[in-house]
Amino acid sequence: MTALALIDGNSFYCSCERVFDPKLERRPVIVLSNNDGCAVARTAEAKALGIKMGQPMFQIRDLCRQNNVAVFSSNYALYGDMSRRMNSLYQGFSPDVEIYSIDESFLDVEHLPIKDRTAWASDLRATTRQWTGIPCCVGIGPTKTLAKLANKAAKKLPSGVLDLSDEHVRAEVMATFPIADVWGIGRASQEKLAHLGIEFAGQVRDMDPKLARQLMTVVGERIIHELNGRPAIALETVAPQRKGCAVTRSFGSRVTHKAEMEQAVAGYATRLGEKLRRHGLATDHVTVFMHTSPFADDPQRSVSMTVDIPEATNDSLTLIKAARRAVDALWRDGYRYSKAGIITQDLVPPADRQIALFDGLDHERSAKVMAAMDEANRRWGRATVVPAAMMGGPRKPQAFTTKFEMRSPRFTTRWDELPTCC
Amino acid sequence: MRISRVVMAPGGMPVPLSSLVALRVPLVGQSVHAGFPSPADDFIEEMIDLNQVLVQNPTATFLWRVVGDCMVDVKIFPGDVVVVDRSLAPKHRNIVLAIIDGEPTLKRLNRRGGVMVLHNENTKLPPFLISEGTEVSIWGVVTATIRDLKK
Repeated sequence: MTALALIDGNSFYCSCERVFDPKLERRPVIVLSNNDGCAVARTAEAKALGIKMGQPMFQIRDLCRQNNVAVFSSNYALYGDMSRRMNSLYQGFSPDVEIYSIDESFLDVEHLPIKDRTAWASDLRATTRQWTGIPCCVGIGPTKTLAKLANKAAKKLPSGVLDLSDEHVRAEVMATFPIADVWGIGRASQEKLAHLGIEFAGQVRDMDPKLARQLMTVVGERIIHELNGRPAIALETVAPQRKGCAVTRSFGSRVTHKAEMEQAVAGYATRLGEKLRRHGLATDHVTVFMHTSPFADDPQRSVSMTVDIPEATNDSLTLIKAARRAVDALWRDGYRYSKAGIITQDLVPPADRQIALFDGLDHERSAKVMAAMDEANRRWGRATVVPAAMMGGPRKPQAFTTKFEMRSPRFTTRWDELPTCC
Repeated sequence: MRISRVVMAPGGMPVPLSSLVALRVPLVGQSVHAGFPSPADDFIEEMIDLNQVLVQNPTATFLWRVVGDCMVDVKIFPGDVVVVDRSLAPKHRNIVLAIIDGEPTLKRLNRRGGVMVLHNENTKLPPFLISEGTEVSIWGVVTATIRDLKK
């Protein structure tokens, strides 16, 4: 029978901050989303203060001040590096690891005898804590949904690990496990199930799959199988080849001038070029979109346009040219835009790109310029060297850069931002 | 290429890097179309990778910048970078990164009788004493220091 472990970091972003600033151990900590909009990670102490997941910062500013809550902007360079370290450690614990999100991974444990699984999970948890400083919980089950459920239940245990390989243990835990915490059961489904008097995971497990399908589409049926120990969601240990690529951002403040929008989109095109070059891929089109805030009372506008490029490229300057053409066509004055982005699909390795006879691009020259730009940006920090289209003249500060006002140093990836000790 | 940084091997002599980088050569021998084959072709090796020299366990290794002077007697100075391995069990005579009441600080770890004690390596400082109720933990074991001699 298949068996999977789900390991995830407790309040992962907050825990990363605590590793390098041990004084935070004694304080409630929260981390904010892009643009410092709302709380996306909270320590147990912050949850105890009543701070909700996704709660906007303006609602909790006073509460944070009064309770000495440490508030951080997202530090993705740090979280990404810590996540990489954790996953490289997991490789030593299982032959197959699926990175599910920045702080969650599924590990295949089918090869382990059931009697050894709890000790294995404790060892995994202790080693992760020791090597990276990140506290974790581990749940084991015969399917992904049950591993998730075990992990959730493990968070309430002092040991931080729970193995649901045994059917009887599983039944006991599921009998009192609320459906709101079952993976894949959203708020709408919860209401429908509540009408049928279904409150606990054990009741969902015993539902007729056909009824589940009626109520919650095919997803519901899959959940029933998974809760019964029949895998319906496979382990994906190999990342699928990137089919598409996108760079999108919400603006720090609304964009109302075309020049600002051009500058922002040129920035995204530059970043897209960087991403494509890093993966050795190219594209023959870009789709640019922009829209106003659906939550504001302002006049609404949401538009997009795809511009074809004569041959597949990953050259930032060409991507900028294409993206600008789209902005030019899409822009209308009188709207307050809240978000824009650039997307491509059907990426190709530069080797299979077709040679355009006319309107051809000078590949060799562009590749050299782009390589030099990437190297400079890698060495001295992102956006050290940028195409002129990204520069908006003397207007400062640029409205469109994402706000990261309270970001901690990039402790593990920058020589000049290392943590300090006496 | 000249590198004037000196790397202190753990507990050993400084290793001058300039002599090491002289070995920088391509991994694969170049094909020679004319003249004599290079007598070095059979001896070509990979260039020395400092990460391999300084970092035994990359997953658990972190760098910290030293700002204090409590270890100057063992030649760890402000401005140095220390390599800290979290996966090693702290042992007698190790230099460790300790967290004392939330403050990260370098200390020598000694076993006295049955207990482990931490102390400074700076005769100019008063002896380091831990008072009752102080929270102490070991963050990791220092395995090497890196000093930029140009500064």
